[in-house]
Amino acid sequence: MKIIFWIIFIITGLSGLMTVLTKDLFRSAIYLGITLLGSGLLYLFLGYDFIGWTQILVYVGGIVLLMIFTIMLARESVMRPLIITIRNPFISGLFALLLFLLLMLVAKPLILVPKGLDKDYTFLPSIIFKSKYVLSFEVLSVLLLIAFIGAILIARKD
Amino acid sequence: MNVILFSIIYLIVALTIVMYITWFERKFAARIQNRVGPYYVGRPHGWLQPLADVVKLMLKEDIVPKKADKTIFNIAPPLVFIGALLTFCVLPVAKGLYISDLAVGIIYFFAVSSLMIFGVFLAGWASNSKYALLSAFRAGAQVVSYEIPLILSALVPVVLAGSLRTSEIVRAQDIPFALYPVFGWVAFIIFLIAGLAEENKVPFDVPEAESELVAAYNVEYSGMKFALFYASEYAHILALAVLASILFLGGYRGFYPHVGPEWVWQVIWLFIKSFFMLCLFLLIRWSFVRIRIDRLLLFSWRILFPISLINLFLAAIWKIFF
Repeated sequence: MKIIFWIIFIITGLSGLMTVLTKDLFRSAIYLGITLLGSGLLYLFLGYDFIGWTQILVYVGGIVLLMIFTIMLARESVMRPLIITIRNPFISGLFALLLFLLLMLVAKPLILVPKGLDKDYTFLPSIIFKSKYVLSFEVLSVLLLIAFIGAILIARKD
Repeated sequence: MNVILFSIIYLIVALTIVMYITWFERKFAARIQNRVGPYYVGRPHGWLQPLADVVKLMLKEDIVPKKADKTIFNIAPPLVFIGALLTFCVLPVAKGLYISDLAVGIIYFFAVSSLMIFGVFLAGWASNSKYALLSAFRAGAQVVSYEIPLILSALVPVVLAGSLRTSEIVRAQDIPFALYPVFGWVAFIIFLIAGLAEENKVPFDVPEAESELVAAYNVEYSGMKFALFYASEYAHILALAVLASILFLGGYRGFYPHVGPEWVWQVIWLFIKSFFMLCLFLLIRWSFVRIRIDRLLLFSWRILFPISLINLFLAAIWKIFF
């Protein structure tokens, strides 16, 4: 079990790195798919079955597929290799580190399993979202909705 | 150890059935079109034809196109096949006879089958052929739009049973869910239509339209790699037929005399129900014509999607008040 965990962990990490490093846009999307698949599988090791399989269903089967779709439709970007120049590697690295620390701080209470629940953590994330973080969850959904409407407005220039 | 042995037996039996579904479909289609179908290999009914097909596909030369993206080209067929096989894990064939009884069985089923469409996309892209690419495009658009009504209609039994566990859903069906007033019927029919669309079969077979796109995303594949695509397609049909009978027709439940071991009767009942579902799929497949791609997508988004959403809503209300 532990060996499988580490294999999945390493594959997920490496493909996450490759998503950023590869020059080919299509391959980048595929690596992103593998990363999301791997992180979905990693949820299973925490016992969060529901969130893990939902992640695979929604992200690998839906979002990454749509991304590949978009990449294929924008033909020119596929033909050209992707060249990104980073102007300030130091500052961007600092911000990435800060973002990572912030995310860790936010995620820490979620990782701790509250007492009083039995061994079955399958639906635990939904319980946490429903009780403690319901407001932030709803605010995020509204933000996402606004972003969707904005995207449609921008895309639709009649 | 026991689980591993059981899964191996389960998968071997499932793949043998899959092999014979190809034969059955050819015979079925032949009868509809007033033909005889496979005849010579294994007289009188051509029942050795699938075995001959397997041997033929194994002996064929494996061709990789020169300008194909070789790694992705080689990864795609096993990915699709694994996706199709993994779906069987949560399908119980009798009481207590399953590979895994996941608490989120239904979601697992759809998550794993979504790997299949990922593989199809990779295959279409890596082949470096315009037909394969167009086919993958169509398959992607179709599956993404039909997966939503499919899952929404599969959620109706989940809501009624109050569990995502497949064995729990079977246990909750004193009356099969397909017999529930209105929404049971509606969910069953939507599941049938959307399931057929998931398979890329006629009337929803625009991805493999022979007359315009040569064959499908697997044009460039040959030998065993083609066989993997072919087998996974039929394995997924079998899995969907079994899932439909579990969700709507009461799974392995049925009337039987209490003679002999119980699980044998339950397996027989599940087999009969799945066979019925399969025949339904094949009957629709061989009696309709192909629909245009834009009509196909509109049908999903404008008709199936709202109906299945309202249906799920009604089912939830029923669950609360009755």
